[in-house]
Amino acid sequence: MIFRHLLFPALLFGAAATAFAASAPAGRISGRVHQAGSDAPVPAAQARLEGPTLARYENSNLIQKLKSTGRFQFNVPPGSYDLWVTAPDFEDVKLRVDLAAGATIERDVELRPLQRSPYRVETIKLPQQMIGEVSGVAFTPKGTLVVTTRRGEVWMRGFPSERWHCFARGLYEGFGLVAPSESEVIVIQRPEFTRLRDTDGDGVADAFETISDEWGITGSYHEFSYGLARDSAGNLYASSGMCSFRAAADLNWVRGPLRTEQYLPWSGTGPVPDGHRSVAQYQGWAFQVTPAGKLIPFASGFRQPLGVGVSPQDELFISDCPGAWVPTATLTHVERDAFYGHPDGLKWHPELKDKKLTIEQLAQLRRPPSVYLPRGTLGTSPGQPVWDVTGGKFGPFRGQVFMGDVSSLIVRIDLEKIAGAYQGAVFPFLRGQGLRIGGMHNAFGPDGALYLGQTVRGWMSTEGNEGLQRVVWNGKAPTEIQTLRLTARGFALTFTEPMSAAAGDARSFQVRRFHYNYHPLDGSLRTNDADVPVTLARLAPDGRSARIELLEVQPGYVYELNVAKTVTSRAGRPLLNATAFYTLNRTLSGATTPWPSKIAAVAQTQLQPGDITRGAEVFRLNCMVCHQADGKGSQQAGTPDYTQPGGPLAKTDDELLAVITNGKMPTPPAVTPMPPWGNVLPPQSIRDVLAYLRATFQPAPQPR
Amino acid sequence: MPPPAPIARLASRHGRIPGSIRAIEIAFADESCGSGWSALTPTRFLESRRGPSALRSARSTPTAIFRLTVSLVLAALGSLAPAQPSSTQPADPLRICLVSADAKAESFRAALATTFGPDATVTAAPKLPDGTLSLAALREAHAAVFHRGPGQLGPTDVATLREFLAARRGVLVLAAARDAWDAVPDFLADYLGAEPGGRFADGAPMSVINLFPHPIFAGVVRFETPQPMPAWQKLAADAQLIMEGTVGEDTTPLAWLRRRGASRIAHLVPASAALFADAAYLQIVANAVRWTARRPIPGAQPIVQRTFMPESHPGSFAITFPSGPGVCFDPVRGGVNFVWDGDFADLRPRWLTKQGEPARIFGPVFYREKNWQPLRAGAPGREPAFQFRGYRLTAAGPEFHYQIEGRDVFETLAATAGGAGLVRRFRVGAGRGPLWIDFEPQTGADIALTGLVRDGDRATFASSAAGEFTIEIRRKSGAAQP
Repeated sequence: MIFRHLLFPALLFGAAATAFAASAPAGRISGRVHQAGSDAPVPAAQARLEGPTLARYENSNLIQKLKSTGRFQFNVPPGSYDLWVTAPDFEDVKLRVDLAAGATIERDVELRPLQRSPYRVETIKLPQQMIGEVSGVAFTPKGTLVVTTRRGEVWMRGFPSERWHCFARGLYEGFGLVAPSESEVIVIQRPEFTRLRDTDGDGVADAFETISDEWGITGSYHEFSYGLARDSAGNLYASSGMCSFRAAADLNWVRGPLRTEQYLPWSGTGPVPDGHRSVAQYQGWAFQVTPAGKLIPFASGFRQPLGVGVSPQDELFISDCPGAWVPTATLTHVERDAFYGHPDGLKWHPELKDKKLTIEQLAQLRRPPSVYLPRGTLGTSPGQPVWDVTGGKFGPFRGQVFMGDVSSLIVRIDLEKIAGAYQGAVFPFLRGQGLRIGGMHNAFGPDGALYLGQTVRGWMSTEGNEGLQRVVWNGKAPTEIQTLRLTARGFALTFTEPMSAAAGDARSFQVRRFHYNYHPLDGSLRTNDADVPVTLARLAPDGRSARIELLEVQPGYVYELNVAKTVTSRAGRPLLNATAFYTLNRTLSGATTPWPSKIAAVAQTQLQPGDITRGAEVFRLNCMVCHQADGKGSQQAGTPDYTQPGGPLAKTDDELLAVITNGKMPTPPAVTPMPPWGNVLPPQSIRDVLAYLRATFQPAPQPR
Repeated sequence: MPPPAPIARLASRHGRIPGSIRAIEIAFADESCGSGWSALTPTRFLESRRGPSALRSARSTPTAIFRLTVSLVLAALGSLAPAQPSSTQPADPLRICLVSADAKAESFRAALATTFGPDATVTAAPKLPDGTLSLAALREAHAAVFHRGPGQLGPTDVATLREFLAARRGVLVLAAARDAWDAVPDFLADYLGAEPGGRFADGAPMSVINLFPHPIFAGVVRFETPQPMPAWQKLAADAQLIMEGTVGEDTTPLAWLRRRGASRIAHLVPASAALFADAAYLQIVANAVRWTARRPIPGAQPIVQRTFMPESHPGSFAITFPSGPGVCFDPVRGGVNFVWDGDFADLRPRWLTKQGEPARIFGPVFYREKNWQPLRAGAPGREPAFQFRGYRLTAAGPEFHYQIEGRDVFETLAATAGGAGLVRRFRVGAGRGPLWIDFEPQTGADIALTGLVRDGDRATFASSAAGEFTIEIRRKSGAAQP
């Protein structure tokens, strides 16, 4: 489908980047982070470096948590990087850094405080005896708060008494629940769906009914069973994460059949970058369990689908975490029998298990997520989606979706159905203000507050801050983009407050669009990242809505909208969150396939002849490690000698531009492919570097 | 499906014997097989899943010698009572000596005596004129509670103390202090198995006090204290950690158990004037004393935890009875994987890291089985449809519910008197054809059956009607010592 044309280059790129990273002399990117206007350090700041040479790392990035000095330092191969610096109560800073081999780059990073939002974060006091690894949150119809913990306990907090008691112990990693009453709780624990009942009225469960356990599990630590959600018909929904096959997988004791081979074998060199694999039955699937207890393998193609929610319209939505085949975090409307991307679970598909589909066939079979959550701005690993059905108690976002994240973040999602399928916009909603990390399971309480169960044990430092928090609206209108909806020519925005005239100025809106690669590497960088000119903006007379028109609206892209700081409410308040990402799978007419792009055509006409000086710098930064300063190539890297007559430079400019842009498979005995630099370098830079190659290494014509 | 039997009804059956039920006691001996168990490789496991080959293999083991004796029904049934105080335990009231130089020792002694009630006496070691404590009372005590330690002692009292520690007596230490154990300088390392390490978390109060499942915490609904804790480190490998404190991401042991020779030792780090008047704390102290003295703990229930047990399928159960034994029930294989002599399973290896290890058990294993789905319906060589349906918690132990070829089976696990063995009581619903069980050779356990017809290594429940049968697994004398 929409990402098909990027599959092959993506594979080459990842493999080459890995080899490149392994062989290149490292440089250093370092610096110090402090508060704007002072030398004070920024609490809980972290620096994240993202770039193509980091493809062998999880999500192609490195993260450093900064200590009190605020210093960071990355020793990395030469190349182009995005450096993100974030802290809970501060605005993000993103810098582009080009690092040459052996070079040192020092950056001073100032962070500005975020505005306070009219939402207050409160920490719920837990009993001292309760390990605060809260893995599931729910409320009974009477308002009793019920939580599961990863230690296998279920606790209840009475309403309105707020007295806690332990309802059950001894479960195997409960990871979500629904709570029909104070005497009945349904839990998804690692091995099964279980109904817990207190039959003698002592407040403690004594009957544990296995509702369903008909999927496979091994001893691998990572194959969590996620959930739990229930629709109005009483069907339960959960999902199964994949086995972490490379580390600590105990496969001697497996429930159900075991298949360790990959559905689509890794075609790159070296070990597969993401070891997650569906080795036991239905790992990487979503499940439905009927009220009669029948388990239906509902849909496939998930990696670590840890957020499971049912909309007020009884539709199943699941969030997934980035890694192989999942380029960045997603939220997906899940329909029965559909396939959502990660192929390894197809080993258990009744019709497809032995079909050995190719990557191209998989791309055609795959349904795209309803929304992508670009890594960084919108977190890392999203939690459970919940819908604001508080009737306005939580503010002006009725019907919208809220999700926590493993990072200190809550996102807000405005979905719409376009040509029969959900897509929509994602906004950052709340960062900082005391919000902890690890908010993976959520529920709206009877008080209209959003409760977040928080646990990250084993993944990052908890500092004792796991547990339970709630987010309470103080009743004042937040200044926000309320909705962002697709139109034939661009987007329609509504605002929570009347906005100033600047919201009717096209220059106030910056729009970019980009792809993600569908590939077996660990996450994907943004590719084909390009500005989309905003041609028109119109603000409604009441200031509560605006329409923007773009040079073109193409399907198959994520559109990033950034609103200028000049856009404020008529009361002068700036937007709390001025960034949104709209996943445009379909246009209003239902088109899902891009057509020839005006943006690309315009960009092509704007290209200048190659500049040798600029090309030399591009070569030094990106190419020299493999191709060598003298252009003679390297046997170890498998790169050719440009200076030889009949070598690569004998090709035409068009041929060489295509190779640099799209990459190239190695010519034996070389084993390392040429990366597709079109994913990283702008077209002008590719022209520049070709000009440099011609001017510097072009061999003299052979005498006839 | 028959309704679950109330516990009272099950217990009442011990006194009468249906005429159709016979009791058979079988003892297995297989000296050449050792424990008759080894870790399964994936291949071996898959073979075991195929069932018949594994069954044939077990039956054809040339060295397996099966000894069959038929005993009286009453003798077998008489041992089937739920966990009760051991008949070997002394019947006289528990005599406890409080060894404390604290100024408030007497009020603590009185509070403790009230907590114990009439089945125990608590005396305090008196102070001598030179300010040291006299430990003469230890000679008559079943257990002692040392607050910090005995302090400076005269030669006679040092001898008394060493004699006490060497005997099969209970030792509970509250907030052990190195300078209070000069009389037995190796006490901390040798007996407690740990070293003091200064203040924990700079004296911050605990954000979490985690009580691990153990009978010592029976009846304790909530235990909380703002008391800053000392740090303890280098905990011995055989120490069973039962209470842990957390501040931030750092943890420190707050209570642990050890066995040294015939003695049971418990160390409880929290101890303060406020706690000495705290009902939950006093309950923990009283329970710990009873545990060290091998006395039954009132209200102690079997503890049922699902986790990843060693040599078991994920989601297997660790069941520990207050006086032992410990049992691993595997709901995928469909049986008891092993039984160990102990009352504790440590799940921390699974909890504390990202890539967890199986739970750790304390105590020697005296029974193991590995046949795939040992309880079968229809043809014994055919792998039956097995479906785990859940469990109920009862005072005696968990009652598991599963179905074999659609036939309901309710299996209750209970400890034998004194905790030396396990009783598996089966209630089965009506179904077609007989039920079969194949037994594996055991070197460490005797097996007694009631309600089953024994033929070699196979037993049969022939009736298609609903009925009951029992399998009792008893640790062989001397096969596994605590």
